[in-house]
Amino acid sequence: MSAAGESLPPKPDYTSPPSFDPLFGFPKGRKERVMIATKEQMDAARVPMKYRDYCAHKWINVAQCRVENGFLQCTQAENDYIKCQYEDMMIRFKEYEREKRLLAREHRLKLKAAQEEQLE
Amino acid sequence: MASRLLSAVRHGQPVSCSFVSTRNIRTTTPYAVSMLKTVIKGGFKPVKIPYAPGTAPRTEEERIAAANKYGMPPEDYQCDPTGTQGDYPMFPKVPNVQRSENPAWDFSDVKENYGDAIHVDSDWLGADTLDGYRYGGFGVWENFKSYGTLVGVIFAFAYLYPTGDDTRLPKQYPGNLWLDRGGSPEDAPVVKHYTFEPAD
Repeated sequence: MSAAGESLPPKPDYTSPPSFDPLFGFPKGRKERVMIATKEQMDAARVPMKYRDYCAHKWINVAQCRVENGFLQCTQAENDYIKCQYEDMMIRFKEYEREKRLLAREHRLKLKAAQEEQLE
Repeated sequence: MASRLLSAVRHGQPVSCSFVSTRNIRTTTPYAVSMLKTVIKGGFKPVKIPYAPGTAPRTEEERIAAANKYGMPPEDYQCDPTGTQGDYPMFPKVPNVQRSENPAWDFSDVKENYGDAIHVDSDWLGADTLDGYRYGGFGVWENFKSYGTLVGVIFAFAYLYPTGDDTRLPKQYPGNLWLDRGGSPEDAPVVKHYTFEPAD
């Protein structure tokens, strides 16, 4: 197990944000995530901390629609919010996969360097 | 009294109680006729069952009257002291499996004679159930075991099934909620989150 375990790449730490350079592998750079709702808007709408993510503006839309049109009359707003949360979750999955692959790449390069040292 | 009745039931001798009397047995009536009679009488009314137990006797006269109602000698008659059975007589609890097979019972499959009184708990004294004396039912410890098993299985499944938290990185919050949690803007950390779309 020792030899095989050493040759396996490490698993990503899912409790911490990505450890690699976020722009690595993107020669033209990546689009930044945009927070649309401002802090004043969220404070005015009394958004809980749990919901102050990148979908907070859609959360506010849902709350406002429910106040204006009734609790069960906001299917469109709810679906928009759910789609936004889905995209958010997909980004988290992709970040995990990116972390995993970059760790594997790092590990692979390390093994290769060790082999070359042995050959020399 | 109890031992005499017990041995009588065990050995298939008739117990004196005309609970099922021939007076209450009648041939079937055609549906239309009975319906016509019902309509003539003025519709459906609550049925008065002649053999339904009445209230528990309190005085000696009531006790004798109840014994006569069930066709028992008054010295043999004994009703439930808690009153939950009304004036229905109490018999020794003899499960079906404990009754002798030697006498010629009228109904050998249930080991009963014609006209025998039916015990209140006859539903769990029959041969199709467990022996009520050997298997006395569930107590606190057995109930606790059952409930614990149920809850334990549920929690075991909850423990075994993956949550999926280890397949994704933590949720991204703008500025890590520094300002929202009351932090000062001067010390705010620079947090940048990216999508996976390449910039133009």
